[in-house]
Amino acid sequence: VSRLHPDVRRGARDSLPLGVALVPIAVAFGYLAHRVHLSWWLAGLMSATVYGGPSQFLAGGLLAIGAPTPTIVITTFVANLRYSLFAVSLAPLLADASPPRLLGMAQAIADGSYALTMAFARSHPERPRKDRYLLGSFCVSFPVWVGSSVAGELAGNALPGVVSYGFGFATPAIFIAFLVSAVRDRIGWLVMLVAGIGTVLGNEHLPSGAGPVVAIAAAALIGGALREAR
Amino acid sequence: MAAVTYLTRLPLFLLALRRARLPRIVDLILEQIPAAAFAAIVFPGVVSPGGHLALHASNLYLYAAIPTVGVAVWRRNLLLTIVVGVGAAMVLKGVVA
Repeated sequence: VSRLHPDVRRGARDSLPLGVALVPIAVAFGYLAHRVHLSWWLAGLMSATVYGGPSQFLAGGLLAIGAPTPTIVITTFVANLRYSLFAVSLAPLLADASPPRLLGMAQAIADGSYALTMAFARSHPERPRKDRYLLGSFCVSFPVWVGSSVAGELAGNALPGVVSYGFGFATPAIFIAFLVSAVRDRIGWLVMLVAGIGTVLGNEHLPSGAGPVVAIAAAALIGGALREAR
Repeated sequence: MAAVTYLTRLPLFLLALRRARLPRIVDLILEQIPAAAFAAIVFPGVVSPGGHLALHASNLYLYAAIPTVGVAVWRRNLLLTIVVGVGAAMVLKGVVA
């Protein structure tokens, strides 16, 4: 471990709380996989390849109602489009990494690792090779996510109701913490409200998965234009 | 499914390869994405946890969000925020049930 680059270790260390928080979410996904009759290895494979909580819950939900395969694939694609926005905003920070490394790091983009890497980049703008930090975060998040999904499928419905209800709040809680540090002025508040309320309304009225992408893009455009005008 | 989800992450590679300086307006727009993305996860997670809008008293996540935001602003600590949020949701469910 001591031979790893300090930034890789730092990314891994900073991701430990995230890893703890990912356990219940991935277990909940495994439980959903169990209910829709996916085997443990399919649940693990889906966590490893899709590697995105919201998209996986969406796909599981669609499996539960017997949706056709093209619908499930297209919906997963649209829901994961959020990662294209993350990728675009990370790209300038990772431009000094080698091309093969970048092809690998693309899979590391997930909500939590993205948030931590952006926070690290803001507090350490002078550090080169931010991909090292992202790699460290991935090395904690990925095995926890895949392993807990498999465990959740195997455990089936052993979780008591109060516990699983509480664990259901883990995702909002993590991102409340990230949101609080990302919103720092009035334009930040506006971006937050447009994206948040827009997503809620989009989920009610747009095809499944499209709401967050449309709302995030609209909020970023409005916020960016306001900052340019100032 | 593996292919389509990897595809969504590929812009990282394509853009970083170009190593070009982005125009200022594009930079400013990209800067807004984190706050927007986090809000897009938090808001529906709290107000429509089951996938449908639940702005009524029996949605306990609405109350659980209050101490969670409080501790997030006060301590700026990720693990503590998760513990308080999940704990609050469990306690509320235990009291109501």
